[in-house]
Amino acid sequence: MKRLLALGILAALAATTTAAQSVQITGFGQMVAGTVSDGTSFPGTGYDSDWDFKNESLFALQVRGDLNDQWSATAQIVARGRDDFDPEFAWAYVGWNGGNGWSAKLGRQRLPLYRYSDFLEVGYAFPWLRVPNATYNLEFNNFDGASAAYGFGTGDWFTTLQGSAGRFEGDILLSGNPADAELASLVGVSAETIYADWLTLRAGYFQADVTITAAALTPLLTTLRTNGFGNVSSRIDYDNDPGTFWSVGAEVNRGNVWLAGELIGVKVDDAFLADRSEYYLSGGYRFGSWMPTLTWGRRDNEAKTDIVALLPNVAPLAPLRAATNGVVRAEDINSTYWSYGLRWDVANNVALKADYTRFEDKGFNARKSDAIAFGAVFSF
Amino acid sequence: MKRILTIAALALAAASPAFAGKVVVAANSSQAALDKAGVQAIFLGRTAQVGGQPAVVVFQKGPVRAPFESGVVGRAGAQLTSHWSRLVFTGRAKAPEDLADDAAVKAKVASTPGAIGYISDGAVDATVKVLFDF
Repeated sequence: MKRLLALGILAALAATTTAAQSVQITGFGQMVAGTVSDGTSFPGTGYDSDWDFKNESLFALQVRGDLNDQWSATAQIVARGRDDFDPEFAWAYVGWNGGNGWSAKLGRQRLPLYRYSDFLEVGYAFPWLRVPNATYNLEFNNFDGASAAYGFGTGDWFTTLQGSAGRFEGDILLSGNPADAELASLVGVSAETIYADWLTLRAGYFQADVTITAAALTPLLTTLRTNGFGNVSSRIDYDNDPGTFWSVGAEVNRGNVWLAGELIGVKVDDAFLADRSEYYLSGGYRFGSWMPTLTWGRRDNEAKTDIVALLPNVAPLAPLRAATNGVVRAEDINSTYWSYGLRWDVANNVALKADYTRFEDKGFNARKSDAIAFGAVFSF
Repeated sequence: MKRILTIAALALAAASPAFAGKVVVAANSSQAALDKAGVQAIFLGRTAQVGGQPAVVVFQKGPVRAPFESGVVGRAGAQLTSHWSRLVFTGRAKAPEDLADDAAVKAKVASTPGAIGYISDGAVDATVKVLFDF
């Protein structure tokens, strides 16, 4: 049904193209094959020891209709291989361009948490095969709401300030378990400045009231409450708990040299999520149409072990302590990523990419693995 | 050996004459002349208006493309496509048009308010107004 609806809308929009030249259809996508050669799985990819052709593949169409000089409507329909190529309206918003650098969007749009958030799925727009897992691992990419932006130039600097407000509701994975998530009263600001077209600096801050309900966690929370440990239960669950996210990043794109780095922090009060501190550094050099990159990423997350300490260390409570410990300590992540990437621009809108990434976690669930992937990315 | 290299270099130079061109808008556009930075701002999608109208940025595939992209815009080929894909797929800019040659650019620019393109020197005529020389 959803697919039919998406196709119907596309057909309707395509039909109007001939009538009015003000409808633009653009698209992008990637077809990626990947596997794990050491270990059984790789975080964030869905890969295992068999070759997979779907998990990181996607196809997207963006349709923009100009309503008049100032207003436009944009929809981005993305069919991801991991959802069996079921099309989804990733974005659907009305945009306003007021001139003098002012613009605004109303509707479903990208949540600009990271430097590459805005074009997270547009593989053509960045050199890596995938954005660095070390920082790009949150489950929230879009939100429903409003944003306003102001861009202005001063000398060699061009700066864009953006404010966003709205909410997110959707299905996510919480420590690998399906969950319903809600970010209410979501507000944030981001600022990006570009110097002389080669240096980009960026910072962002977002906050929201976070509610996440995971069926897998409910038995533990219920047991804690019925045994008089409601305080422990409320320290674990995400029940309208205030969360914050901040990020700083930089990118250099000068001559043949390319460098990028980001540092982020995530915190949710009164929930078992560890205080996260994650970063990556990446560098590459352009040899004509070839560009090798090397990326180093770290996740250094301290689990809130004080939650476990709230339970008395007595024999009858041992199973409850063990279960609580398991949930809390799963957030104890101390992992390192090394990625070796290669991008080859075969044409002006097609590139081939390869990536080999090694990953090692020395935290509570200590493990290591790697992922090999090849793909073609395109935009039109 | 050195002579062969010299001959090869000469042959190459002869095969790719330096193309000079102009950045143009419709003859009746109110857009004032631009400096290099102003042209860059428009062709890198940072300025959304041309002559008080929403900008319609027009690239072209003719021989004037290479000197314009590398000499004026400062980004060429896949890098430029990549830059624009960032703007378009974030909704920050309308996708630029990519036309075949001087004639197509002139026709588009002359008939579209806000359109801005570049053509080779020899193609300039009364239907367009020159904003920048390269």
